[in-house]
Amino acid sequence: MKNQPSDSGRPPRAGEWLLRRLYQDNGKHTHLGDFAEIYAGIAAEKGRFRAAAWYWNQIIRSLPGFAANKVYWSLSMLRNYAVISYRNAVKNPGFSLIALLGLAVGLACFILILAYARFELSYDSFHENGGRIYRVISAEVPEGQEPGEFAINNPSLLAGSLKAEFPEVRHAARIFARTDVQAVLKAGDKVFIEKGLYVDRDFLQVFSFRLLRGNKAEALVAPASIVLTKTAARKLFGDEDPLFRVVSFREGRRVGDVTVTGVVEDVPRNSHLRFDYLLSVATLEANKQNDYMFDNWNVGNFLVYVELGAQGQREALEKKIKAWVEKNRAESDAAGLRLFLQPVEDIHLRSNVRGELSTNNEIRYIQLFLAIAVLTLLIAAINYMNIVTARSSTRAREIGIRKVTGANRRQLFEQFLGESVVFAVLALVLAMAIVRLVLPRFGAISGVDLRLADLSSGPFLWLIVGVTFLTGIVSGAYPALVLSAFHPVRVLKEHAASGKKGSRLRNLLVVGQFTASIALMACALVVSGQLRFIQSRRLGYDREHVVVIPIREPETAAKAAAIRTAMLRYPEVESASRTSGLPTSIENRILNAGFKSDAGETVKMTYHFDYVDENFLDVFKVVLAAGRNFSPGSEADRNAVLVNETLAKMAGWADPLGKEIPFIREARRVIGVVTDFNFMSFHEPMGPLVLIPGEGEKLAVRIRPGDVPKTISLLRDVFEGTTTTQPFDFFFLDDDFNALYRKERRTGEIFGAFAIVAVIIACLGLLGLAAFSVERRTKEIGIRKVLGAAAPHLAFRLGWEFLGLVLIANVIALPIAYFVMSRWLQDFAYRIGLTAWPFLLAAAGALVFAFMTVGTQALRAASSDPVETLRYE
Amino acid sequence: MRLLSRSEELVLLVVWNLQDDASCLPIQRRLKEATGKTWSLGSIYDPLDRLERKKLLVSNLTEPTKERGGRSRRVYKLTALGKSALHELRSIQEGLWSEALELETEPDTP
Repeated sequence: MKNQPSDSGRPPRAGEWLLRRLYQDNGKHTHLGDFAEIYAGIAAEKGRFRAAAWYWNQIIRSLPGFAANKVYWSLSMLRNYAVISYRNAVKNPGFSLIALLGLAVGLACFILILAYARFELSYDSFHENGGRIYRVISAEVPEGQEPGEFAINNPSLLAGSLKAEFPEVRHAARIFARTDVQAVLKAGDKVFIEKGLYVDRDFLQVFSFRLLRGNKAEALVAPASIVLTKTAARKLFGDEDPLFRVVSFREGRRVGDVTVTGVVEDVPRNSHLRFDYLLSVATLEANKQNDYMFDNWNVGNFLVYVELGAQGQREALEKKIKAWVEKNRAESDAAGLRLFLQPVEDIHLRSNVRGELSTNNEIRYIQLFLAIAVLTLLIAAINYMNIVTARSSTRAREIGIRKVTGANRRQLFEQFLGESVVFAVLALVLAMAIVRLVLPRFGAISGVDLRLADLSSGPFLWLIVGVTFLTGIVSGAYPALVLSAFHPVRVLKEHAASGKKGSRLRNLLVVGQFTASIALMACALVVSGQLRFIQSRRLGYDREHVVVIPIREPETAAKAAAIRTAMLRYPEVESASRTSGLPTSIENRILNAGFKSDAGETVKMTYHFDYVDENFLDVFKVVLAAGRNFSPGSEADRNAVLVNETLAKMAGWADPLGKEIPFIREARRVIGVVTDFNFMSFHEPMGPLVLIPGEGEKLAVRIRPGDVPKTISLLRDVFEGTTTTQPFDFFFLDDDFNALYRKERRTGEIFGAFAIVAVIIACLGLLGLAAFSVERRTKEIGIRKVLGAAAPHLAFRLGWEFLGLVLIANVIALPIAYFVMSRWLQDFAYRIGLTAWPFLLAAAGALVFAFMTVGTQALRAASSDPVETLRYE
Repeated sequence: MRLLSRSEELVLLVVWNLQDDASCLPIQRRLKEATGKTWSLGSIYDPLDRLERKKLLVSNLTEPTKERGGRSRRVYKLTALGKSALHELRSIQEGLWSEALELETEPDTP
């Protein structure tokens, strides 16, 4: 043998490793050594390369045989596992069903919430420049304090100034939007009512709404340009080319023919800006009557969005803007007013803003829901764990036999883990069926139109499958550990392994389950209590039985007085008012101004204002506290206003009557004071309000209770009999009011639904455990009965075992729920006090549920005939 | 005495011939010399296993050597039973041969 370096005789490491894996040698033949020796021989004779080639050749040639062998045996074991699992499941269909159902419901909840959260988190993420688009919002920030509440409406001049003063600002786009305004669009004989925005010329460049027809840079430059969404264009023009066609546009006082300059793709569902059409801001500017909107720093009518040149400039720019605002304070006239840049992607979930365009959500709620989803799934997993370990005794003999015939612990562990994973996958199939079933209902509650296609596509599906596997592993690991640890001799010799083993952990898990579900239930009760409170609170006005009919066209406006008079002729109609403001929508119009207080100081404040007629107080049943109402048709009242009590108090006026109110162009005089009525959401305290005489674009009609549909059709007849151009549409003030609390209502309803589901799953688990405990103790019960125990006593004995656990869970859950809910309630300016009631109710509910599930089982056992139960053996 | 298969006979005989050096690779080498064919390791392991199960052979592990990558080799040895089996084999064959006609090799056909 040639003298080689010492390591040259070693075969390739990878090859050796592979060979060791393939051979189950048990040190019998020292094959590896033989191969190494041959390798060394060849290496010495023909070189290492040839030797390695030989080595690998040997391995590769033996692979198919090994593989076939392996697969054959794995398959036969797998078949055996499957058969045994199936037999076990079928032998006790009740338990299997409970575990499966629990897991399926848990998974279904999880899928729904995950899909919901994914959708909510995806808001406004489709803008290509998303990271650089900000909305300019303002807040009054007293020196050294954190900004409290933000407003989104800004003066028109701000956009131009920002762009001129700061080179970082690449685009500044104004949007004029009123949530409650819809327009009538006509093309030929087609008439539709649509919602839209007035937007600046660079709107389409800042936001990524895909333009299908037209020129991105020029579509919104000229006055009277309109861009339609695909759907709106199809509605108006069918399959014809809409470009450069003329649409007649009517929205309140704003009327005219506009030219279609573009068509955009329909607005994605996850956009906070929603519209059917876009009109150029130039359309507003062209009308001299609108000058006050554009030449004035005191009127905040526009949303302003800026696109910065690069990312990460936000904070520096905010500082620069702050300095700039302070320098020009005299012009803007509001001390402490600061501007902030809000990332567009934060608007939906991380915004605390008044007068948002679409219903927002809050990131906390999303996090809360995700937590609930995980909790529900965990509860279901625990169910599975409990039922499987509790029933371990029924499988003890199988495990014993397997061990005796040579199974090692790892194989058994894998068997049971595999079983639970397969179980979880079955549950997933069932869960998908459940999701499919409840999806429409869930969509109605959550306000998110989820589709099955979204749920079963791409990464989301993989995520779900992953979570399912994880659930299978988590819920199977503990039982697998317990079962595979059985001692073969003991379980085969003894009559049955006691399921009592590990019952302490099982009890702990039951306590955990119930803690979670009781806490959820208590929270849900508090939430619904708060929501009821909001809706039943004294508002200071009457929101019921008010029908609001929008006046969308000048033709209608001209005939509004006639319509009103005609309607009042019917006894079903109590009163009617032409108004711009509704108690539910006033908060959008604000003005900064300084007031002279009685003490001679200047009080700065931001007040809300709106235009109403003399019937406003009647229709909404707002009470006059002092002074008088507007008198109809009085020339003297042209400059009069009504204020609310809060304004008088804030301005420091003992007698507000006759005081001056600074308005847009001129000062006005207070002729009356109305009692405070809630025109803002309950999250916020009462604000100052000024009511200005004017003819608004709505007809608010108070109808008498009774046959509401008949009254509505009466109103329709009157309306359509008087005006022919505008289609009749209406809404109830009540619905508008409810929309203000949609977010809370959704949260409450989803919360409630999941709390109930969690309790049901937990009770399912309890049912399984109780049934099992009863089954195991049939003999004990039989003997007790023979010895004279009464059935109720026995039922109590059995029931107590589990009810005790639920009691413990109560003790843990209630303080947690109390803490969480007191935090939640702090968000409301008007809130209920936390009483013991919801907590007691949740506790009692859980106890009753648990008692019913356990009780039925206990009663069944207790009333069984001892002759039956003791006959065997 | 149960009869052995041909490969078992040969392996058993080779183990006896090799005496102290009877591990797999020398056995393989010796079989090649004797039969002119390369025996795969598998076809040697198998008869070795069977002979060991029939108690004709015993095996021991040696100290690990460097040329085997730090692994020990398994060395086989005949048991008393193995030796008697060889004796028996030989006497059976010799008995049969002694009765047989003289075997002539056929002349090569052109």
